[in-house]
Amino acid sequence: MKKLLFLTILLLITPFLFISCSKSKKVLYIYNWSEYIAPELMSKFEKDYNCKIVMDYFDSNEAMYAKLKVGSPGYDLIVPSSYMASIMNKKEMIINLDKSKIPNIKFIESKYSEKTEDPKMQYSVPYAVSFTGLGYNKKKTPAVKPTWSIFGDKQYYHQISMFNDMRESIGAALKYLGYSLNTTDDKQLAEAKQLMIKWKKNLAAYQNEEAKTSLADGILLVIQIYNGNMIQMQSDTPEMGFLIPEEGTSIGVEVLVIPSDSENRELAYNFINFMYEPENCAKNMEYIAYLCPNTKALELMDKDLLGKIIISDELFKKSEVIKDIGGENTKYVRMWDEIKAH
Amino acid sequence: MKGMHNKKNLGEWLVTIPPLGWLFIFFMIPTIIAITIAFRPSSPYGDIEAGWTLENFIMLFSPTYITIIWRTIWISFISTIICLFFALPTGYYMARLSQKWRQIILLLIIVPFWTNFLIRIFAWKIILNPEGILQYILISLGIISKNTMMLYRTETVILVTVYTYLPFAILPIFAAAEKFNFKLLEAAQDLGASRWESFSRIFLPNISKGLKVATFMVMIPCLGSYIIPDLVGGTNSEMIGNLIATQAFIARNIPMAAAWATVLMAMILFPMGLVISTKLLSRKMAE
Repeated sequence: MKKLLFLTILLLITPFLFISCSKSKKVLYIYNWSEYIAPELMSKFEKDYNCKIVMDYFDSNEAMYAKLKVGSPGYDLIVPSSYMASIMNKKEMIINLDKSKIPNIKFIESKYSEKTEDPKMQYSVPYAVSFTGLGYNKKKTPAVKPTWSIFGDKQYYHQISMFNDMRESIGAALKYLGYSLNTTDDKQLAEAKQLMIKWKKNLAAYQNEEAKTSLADGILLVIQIYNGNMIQMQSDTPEMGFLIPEEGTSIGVEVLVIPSDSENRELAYNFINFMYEPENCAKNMEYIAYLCPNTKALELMDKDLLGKIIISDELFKKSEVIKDIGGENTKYVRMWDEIKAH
Repeated sequence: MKGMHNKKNLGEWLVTIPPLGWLFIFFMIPTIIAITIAFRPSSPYGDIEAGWTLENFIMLFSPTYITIIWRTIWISFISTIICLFFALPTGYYMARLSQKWRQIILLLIIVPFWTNFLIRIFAWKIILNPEGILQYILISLGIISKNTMMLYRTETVILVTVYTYLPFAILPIFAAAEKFNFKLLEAAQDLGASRWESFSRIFLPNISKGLKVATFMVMIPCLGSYIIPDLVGGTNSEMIGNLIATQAFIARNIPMAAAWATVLMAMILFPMGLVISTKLLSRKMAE
């Protein structure tokens, strides 16, 4: 019994022992998506700047936002999507960036930021850019057409899936109809709703992560997916293919922001600058398989991978970044529920 | 005598207070908070605003959502009926087995449940795979055609739900049946009852408590299902649990999610309250 008590106490105080050990070094607290940074760069940064990185993970912008809203968890750097960064900026949860502290920002191509709510990179800098498209198995369905109307194609009846994400899925329908995926026009949305209901009859399901395993297992033939996910899948199953519909697609831009209550701003700036160092940036892209619009780093990249993480200028022009539409968001929620209940 | 009674009372209180306190702090208070939030307005940025509103509840009863409430109810209802249908004979025969076999069967029912719930659902995805062995067998038997998709259907949701919750139905029925004196069935038959009559008029009323518990044990988690329709359900299998997730994580509307949770709670508490109050009423009538 005494032994048990002793062990319990030991177990309880262990975390504190570690905290007191690391106190001598500065700690950079990062809030990030999982597997969204190359581990070797983290250890390199820790060595170069004599500090320690503590990384926490979130799996949705909303969950991250909710956690920050409740109280100050003390993060120094966060990696939200651009629309969420815009909300955080409006709520004054993040600071305006002092660009003189990020000299490497000169390598960053601004064309992606220009499509977001922060075109001049005042409070956010792009970290990773993704494109939504169609994932498929080249062996089983070699002749997949690059169009969003594939969701209504009877050939894939009940073996094709769309994202369980209202903005992405409705966005695909809007793009097919030639509208902006940030539209709040009732007529355009009504048209998209009709199209979604028509497609729905042909779909197997609305799925995100689970669709990947279903594609790999041959349950699904075509899925709506991000290019980075597909590249990661290709390393296990080379016969996986990826296409971006010719009508244009949604561009996801994940950005780096510094929360207003960060206690280590200097270190956070150092980290941003470190990540934009061309060699580091190239290494990171090779790990996460998403594009960082760093012109110098792109020159250093493996050409094969580079071809997979960028899109043509023509497609880029037709594509958009999903923006925060504030109160109009309820229109999408309503519509999404109506589509699902139909 | 009185003093002793008091002492006993004190002791009872001392053991009851910790669990009661636990339930109050970690169950009652959060539940009350959730219900309160359901009456708050929300901002487009996911904040809970000050003030009070009934709007969340008015929204819930729009035709769009009635479809999903109705779907949740009938999926849960059918799943419960099927569970009882299989659990009843299983419980009956288990109670009649010898001690040794009873334990073996009990083990066979419980052991699979040591495997993680999610893994068992994923296993169903493999079983129902269109290129899987089951599909192959059913096609060669001429039961389904080559193009039949066994996954992503509402029927699949019911199938996996029944599979998941069947033990929760078998165990209470078995526990009730174990206490049943099976000689009563023989007596009933001696007095001229048919086998079916003795089963339905003697056995069933005697295990009615077990049946009720089984019904609740299956029905309650069914109503709150989220993962099963999410993983094996199709485009028409969304249930209230999925709506709560959508409202909380995609729509950033916590009050609306709380309103849904409140409705779900009411859907569960209402039949339970009905059962308890009829019981109390019948007891009073008897007095």
